[in-house]
Amino acid sequence: MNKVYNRNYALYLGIVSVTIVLFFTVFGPKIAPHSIFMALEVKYIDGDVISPPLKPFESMAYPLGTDRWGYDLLSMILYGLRYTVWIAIAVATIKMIIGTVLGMFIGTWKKTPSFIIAFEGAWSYVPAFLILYFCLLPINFGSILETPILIAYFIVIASLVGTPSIVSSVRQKTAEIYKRDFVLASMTLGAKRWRLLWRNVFPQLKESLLVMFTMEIVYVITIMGQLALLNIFIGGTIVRNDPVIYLSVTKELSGLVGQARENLMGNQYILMVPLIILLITTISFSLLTAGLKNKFQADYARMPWIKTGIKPKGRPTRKRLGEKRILNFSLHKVGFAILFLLFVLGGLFVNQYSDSKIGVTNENKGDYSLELSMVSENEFTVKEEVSVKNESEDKWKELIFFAPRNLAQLELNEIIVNQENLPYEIKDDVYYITLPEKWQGESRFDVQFNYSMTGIEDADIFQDWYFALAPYKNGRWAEATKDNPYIHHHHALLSSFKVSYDLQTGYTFISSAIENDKEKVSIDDVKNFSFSIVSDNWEKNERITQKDTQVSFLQQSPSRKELTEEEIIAVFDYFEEAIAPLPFKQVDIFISDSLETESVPGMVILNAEGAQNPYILAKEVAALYFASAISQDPQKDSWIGSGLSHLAAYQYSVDQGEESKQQALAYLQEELGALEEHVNGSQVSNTNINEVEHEAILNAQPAWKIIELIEEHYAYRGISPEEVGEKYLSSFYEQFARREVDTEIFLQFTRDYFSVPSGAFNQWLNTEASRK
Amino acid sequence: MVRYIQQMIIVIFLILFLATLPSIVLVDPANGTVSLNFAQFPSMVGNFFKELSTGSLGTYYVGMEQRSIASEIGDNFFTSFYIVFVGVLLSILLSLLFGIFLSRFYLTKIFRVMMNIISTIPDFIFIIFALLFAVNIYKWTGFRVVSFLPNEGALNIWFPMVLVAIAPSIYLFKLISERYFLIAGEDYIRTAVAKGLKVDRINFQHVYKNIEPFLTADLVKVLSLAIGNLFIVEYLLNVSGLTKFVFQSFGDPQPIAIGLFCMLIISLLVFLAIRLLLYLFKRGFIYE
Repeated sequence: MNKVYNRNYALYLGIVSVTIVLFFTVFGPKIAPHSIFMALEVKYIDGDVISPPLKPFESMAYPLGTDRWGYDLLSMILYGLRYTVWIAIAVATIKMIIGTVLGMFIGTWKKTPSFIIAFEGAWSYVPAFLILYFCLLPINFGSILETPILIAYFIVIASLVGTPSIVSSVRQKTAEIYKRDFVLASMTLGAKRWRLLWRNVFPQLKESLLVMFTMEIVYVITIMGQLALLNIFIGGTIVRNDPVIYLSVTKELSGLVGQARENLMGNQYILMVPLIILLITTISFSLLTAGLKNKFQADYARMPWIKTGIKPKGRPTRKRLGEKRILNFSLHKVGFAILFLLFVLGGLFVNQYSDSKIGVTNENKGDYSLELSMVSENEFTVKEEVSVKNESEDKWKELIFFAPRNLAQLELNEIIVNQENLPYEIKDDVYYITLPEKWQGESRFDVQFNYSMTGIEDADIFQDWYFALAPYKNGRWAEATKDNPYIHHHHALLSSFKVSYDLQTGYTFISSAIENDKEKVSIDDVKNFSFSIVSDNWEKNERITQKDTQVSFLQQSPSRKELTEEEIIAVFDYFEEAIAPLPFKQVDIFISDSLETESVPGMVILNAEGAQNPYILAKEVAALYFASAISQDPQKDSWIGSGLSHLAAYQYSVDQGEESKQQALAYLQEELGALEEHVNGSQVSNTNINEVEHEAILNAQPAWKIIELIEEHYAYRGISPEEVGEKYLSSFYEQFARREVDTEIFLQFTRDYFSVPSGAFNQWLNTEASRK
Repeated sequence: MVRYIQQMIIVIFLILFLATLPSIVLVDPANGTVSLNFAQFPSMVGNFFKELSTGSLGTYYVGMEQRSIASEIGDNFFTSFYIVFVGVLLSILLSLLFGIFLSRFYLTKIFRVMMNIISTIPDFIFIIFALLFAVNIYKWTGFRVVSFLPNEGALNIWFPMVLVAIAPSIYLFKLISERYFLIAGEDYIRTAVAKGLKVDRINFQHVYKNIEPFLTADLVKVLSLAIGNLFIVEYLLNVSGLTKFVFQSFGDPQPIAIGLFCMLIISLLVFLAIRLLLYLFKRGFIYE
């Protein structure tokens, strides 16, 4: 019984809880359910009004409640915790290093100068937070200094303010040890000061230094808390007038406590929640300190002669000199290993989980493997294999594929599912393959199509040439996109493709995929696999952008070609600099009199006339980013791709100078003017594609509205609207590249980015339309 | 003695430095850098002493109204003094009692557990929790435990006293228990036990006598803990003490310096008073 009771539980608990705290500091923002910039808006759900402040556990979406402006407390804590803990650790580390070196050094002096002792005394008399308060008072409020600089100031000043106390205690301990016999023995043997310090004094000090370090962490957090009560928040205080409120920039824990100070009387949980988390954090470190102390006390203490009521916790560990075992197995080491493993696994899991939450997630997957062989000039046979994966909970009764569209002729021979020939129905170019009962619970299907096709005369570009699996989500298959003037492709999954081809002589296969083998290419995470087969009558020219993307130019009418190519390369260079490296290793640009201008994954097709307009050029190149690498459901959300491409083109024009900016604005205004003439009243951009009345609703309208938004709110993110526009586009792309987005996700991102309510979009988007 | 004078000079310099710091640190709005304008320091210190030499303590602002510090500081001074003195005295009594004399009893075990728990909670969190608790007691029972109104007398001041006592108590109690544990293992205690002395007597005549030097040595630290918490407590509980001059002057050096100097005087007075009490205790009860 005594064995169980007498364990050093503080140490175990301390280590585990500190590990947990550290875990949240590292992965917190990935776990956070909401953004810290986006407030909960008043909502009606089933007749109930949901409005901030929400109490904890009232809503599943806001487990710890919201503050009175509607910001999620849990998310703020998860974002802020890292600042609290790591700033404290940084300060404690700097303090300990400087303090130990100085203290040990001064401790070896024969007599400590009295001014040092006087200084230590005076310094320890003045509370540290008071010194910090006066240091930070002039710079912290509504500061123009940036947050990292303010944090750095705090770390430096807090370390300096705290160092004398460490110096003092290390100095005293060193002086004490320095008097011991073993130091004298070393000295007699001729050891110099540094050797004495390092070999004789430091080993005696190291345990108490460790304890001091963990204690200092708590101490720094305490100081941060005290400052926060005086409205000095680490990383800057935002001051709002009318009424005067103080807000923390970093959402650091003690700042959250400080900014909720007025909730002492009402809505106490807004104060309690961060306070309790802060308490748990400090208790974790305190427990660790206490545990370490217990351990060292058990190791080194002498037992008392009278009853004191104090018992050392835990059994002393003794070092057995001269004992060397290769596998020094102990329960403690196993415990440590398990803890470490859990940390890593948890981190991996969180990473995976948060990654899968970005963008729209479809509940099925299809990976394609296509064998293409050319029978005669523009006649092909195709063997298509799709491995379909059902990731939903539902049992499928049928599989749905969209038929190829851009082909002159198609002849389907058979559809084989899991090696069985299955019957199918065709309705409006959609193939419904009925699954037999025995397979309805399955989650994997291998579907094989064998067909022959004929390409369109003199168009050698194949975009929509294979049977595409329809996306499945929330118990429904995606609908086919009906014929409309604006969008011609179906809703597609982001899939991987393996294509092998066999061409006749005189033809070349061109695509943006990577050539693995001879006549075999593959590409991952694209919504469509397009390629072209080029005969000798196209002139081919290859160039390389500054970021090493290969651009192939293919022209039928090489008039003025040099100029256009220069222009296009300049556009590529701009986007690769301002947004991100191109999503494709290689891009093909077709310039022809007979083709219509459009952009498909990995290809830009330019009408020779359209190629003269730099705005159009830029728009089509930008579509490689926003319409090709970021997928959308063409039914309602295609405006995101086209709108952002136009915005990017506008940004490019702005970058080119005032004249081209005016031209771009004029172009957009013209489009909007046409829209106004054409459409009675107004139409939101996320209208169903079949009801869209004018093209400008999908491109000029969103682009124009986002430009307006940037002009109005850019100060929140940067210095000029131009800079913020670029940053906005590149962060949007960075977050959603190779993923699918919809209007709601766009809204979330943009609201968060500019810190605006959804009301700011009401004019041109239906913000109520939820994902169904 | 020399060291005390040095210490005093350093503290005075430090206080003047802190009081003028808000005027010295300047943020350059153009390029977002911080610059220190030390050139102002001598003139501001000069102004401060000039003001003192005229016999007035200067003025401070309440909102837009300018008021004389001297006419108001008396009450504030004594409020703060009482809080610190009672707080420190309370902490010394508790920690001596439980740290030495009652240490071996079961009661102390509970006290120790309590102290251990409280000591893991940073002071300011404890203070906020105490406040929340007090507010909730009023909400549930209608019984007013504390008051935030400055002119409520005892109701306004007892709570701050207790809160100020907490941090020093924890510190002292830990220090004394630790010392007690160490001293109890010394050879002279064994001798005393061997002579057949009672534990209480050993505690008084052997242990206390050997702990007292540590107590007086750490008195400054205890005071500084008490003063540190005094700032927070007065600020949070709206006690009209000296911190009013420190925190509500928006960087005006005059009231800040006066406030901090008064704090210094308070801690000196409390220090002397406690030393006197300890001396009397020793004279009265301990054999020399």
